[in-house]
Amino acid sequence: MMSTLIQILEIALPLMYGLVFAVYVRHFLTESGQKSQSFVGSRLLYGVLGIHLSYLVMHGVNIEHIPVASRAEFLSLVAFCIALVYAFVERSQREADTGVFFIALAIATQTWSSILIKPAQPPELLTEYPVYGIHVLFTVFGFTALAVSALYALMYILLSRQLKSRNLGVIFRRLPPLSSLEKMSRLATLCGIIFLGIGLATGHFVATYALDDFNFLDPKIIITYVAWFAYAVGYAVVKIRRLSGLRMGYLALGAYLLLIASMVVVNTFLSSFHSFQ
Amino acid sequence: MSSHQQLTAISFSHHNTELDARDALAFSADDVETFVAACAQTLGCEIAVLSTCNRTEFYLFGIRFHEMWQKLKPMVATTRDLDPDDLPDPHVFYGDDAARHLFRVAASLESVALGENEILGQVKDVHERILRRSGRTPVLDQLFQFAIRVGKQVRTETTLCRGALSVSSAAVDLASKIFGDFTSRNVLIVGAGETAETAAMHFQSSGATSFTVLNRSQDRGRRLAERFDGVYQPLDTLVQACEKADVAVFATGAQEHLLTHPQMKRVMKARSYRPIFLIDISNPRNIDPDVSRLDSAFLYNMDDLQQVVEANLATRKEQIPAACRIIDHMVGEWSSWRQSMQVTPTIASLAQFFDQVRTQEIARHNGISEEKRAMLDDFSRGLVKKLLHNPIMYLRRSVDDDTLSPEDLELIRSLYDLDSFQHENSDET
Repeated sequence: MMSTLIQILEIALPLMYGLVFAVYVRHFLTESGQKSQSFVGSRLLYGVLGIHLSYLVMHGVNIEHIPVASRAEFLSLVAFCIALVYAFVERSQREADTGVFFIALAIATQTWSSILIKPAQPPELLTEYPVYGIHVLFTVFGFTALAVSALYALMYILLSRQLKSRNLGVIFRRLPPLSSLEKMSRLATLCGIIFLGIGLATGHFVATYALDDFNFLDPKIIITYVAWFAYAVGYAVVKIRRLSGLRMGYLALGAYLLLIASMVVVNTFLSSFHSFQ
Repeated sequence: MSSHQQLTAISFSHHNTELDARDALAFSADDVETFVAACAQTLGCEIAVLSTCNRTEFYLFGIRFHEMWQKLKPMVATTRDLDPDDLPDPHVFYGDDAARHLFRVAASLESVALGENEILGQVKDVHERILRRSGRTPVLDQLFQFAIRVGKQVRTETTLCRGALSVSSAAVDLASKIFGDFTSRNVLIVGAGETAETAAMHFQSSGATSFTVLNRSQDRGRRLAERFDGVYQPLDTLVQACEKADVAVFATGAQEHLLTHPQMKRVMKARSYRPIFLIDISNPRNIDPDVSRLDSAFLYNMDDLQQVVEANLATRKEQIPAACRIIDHMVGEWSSWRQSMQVTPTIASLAQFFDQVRTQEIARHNGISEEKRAMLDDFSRGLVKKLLHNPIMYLRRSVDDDTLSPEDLELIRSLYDLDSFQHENSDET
């Protein structure tokens, strides 16, 4: 019974995100003065997030470990994280104009997940140490939140450039004000720092107590620690010195691109673990 | 409601009337009440008056007169205390053209500022007055409902009414794209002239509450600051004031740059590169154009803002065909409604006429039993129903297909002399 429900949800989730996407597209294309105060898309998104969470829990119960072992499971978790972080940011700022971009990403990753889904052999670590699953979960949340922050920074830069060039096009008409984009980017960064921090702490715990010969000088570990530290210090400095504006946008976007580029290099040439099948 | 009644619109607006004449013709609320009561009594028709700062228009529904304006002219002159010979010639529209004109007005296609929003509120006010009136004005009530629908539809389905059309409101629009709302923003006004005051008023009406005024003349500066519950500072504190401001409006008569690139560079550093919106609406310019090269300093001068206004106007003009399509559709609906209103009384009269003939014929047979009378009654009802089926269906179909001509209706009414029949019946009741 549960397996059937899980299979149905694997097909239904991309469709549900598609429906949410359609509502957000309509909202995005509506002129600002004509937008409804109580936007139905947000409630729809919360509903789909609830269903997605139920799916992840049911799937986890079914396979008896946190569903992060296969690429499909990982992608579904990423889709959930994108939608969840976005929903949180949207709710805090009461600004739904950017949803169309994030829901599109959630559809893409969930569809990819639904296509790839097949039974996978979980790593021993995952079945023996549930904390390892929690480590992966929070790390994925952290990286996703930082990605959301970078996307908001990109939107800030694009809108800022349009305003500076006096070429007021679609971006000018559709995106929220610069101040909102900046707040949304910062909130997502804060989420990223907190989640990634918990992910690193739990990872450190697993490595210390579960793995005998763990190499703490693995380049991926070092990059992640450095990135987390840089983000945390950067966030604190920006907050304390009340830094703002276009430079902060470039900084947030650049930091994330640098992080991803480093990860790609390390994954391609150096790392032998932390890979998903 | 017979077919020889029609809708007439008589319009005085900026298209055909000089400003002085428009002022003289402007009706107050009291004027409207007096005028409408007088017209309804004299002409026996439904009447509504739309009077705004740019137009005075009369909408009448009733018996068709060839020279409606000539009949109305003395009453207008009396109400406004004018010489009838001094009144200018209006634009007069009849039938669907009159409805189309009102719909264009409600859509603000006829306004001086294309796409302005105020006119829809004024049309709604006229409709409310129609509803409050004691006499019956069903056709104008419906007409203004259609007009309000047009106004709303044009505003929701097109962008005809979007985008600022004045330099000050364009500046406010741009600033709101940077800061969202202005409730916690500091607005710096440099200069205390009329332009500076207008800009400050726009920001105040958009929610700004914190104003700082800088001006060479202390008296004028203080007066303006007091008007907006702000503070006055001397002009030589400009750099420090810019450090605290979110929006800075420069509108002075100074012949040199008041804010230079090196000054602004220091300002940006002091404010940790927080965005600032600089509006230079002075002539010559008060802000060094190089300032716009600085990150997060958004500088717009008069020409830039004028370009925004022109772009908005062009965008609005692009929406005219879409608005016209909505109007065409609504004129069609209005026309159908009018025709259905014309045909309904005819169908009712026709049915009444046949029923009367039927009952009169049965009444002639006095000597028959109750059973036979009931049979005759059933038979005659069925016969009348069948005989009327085709003509009634023809009328209804013609309304649906929009092919009903006034001549068709007249023919049916003449064949059975329905006008006399209706008249006699109303006398009896």
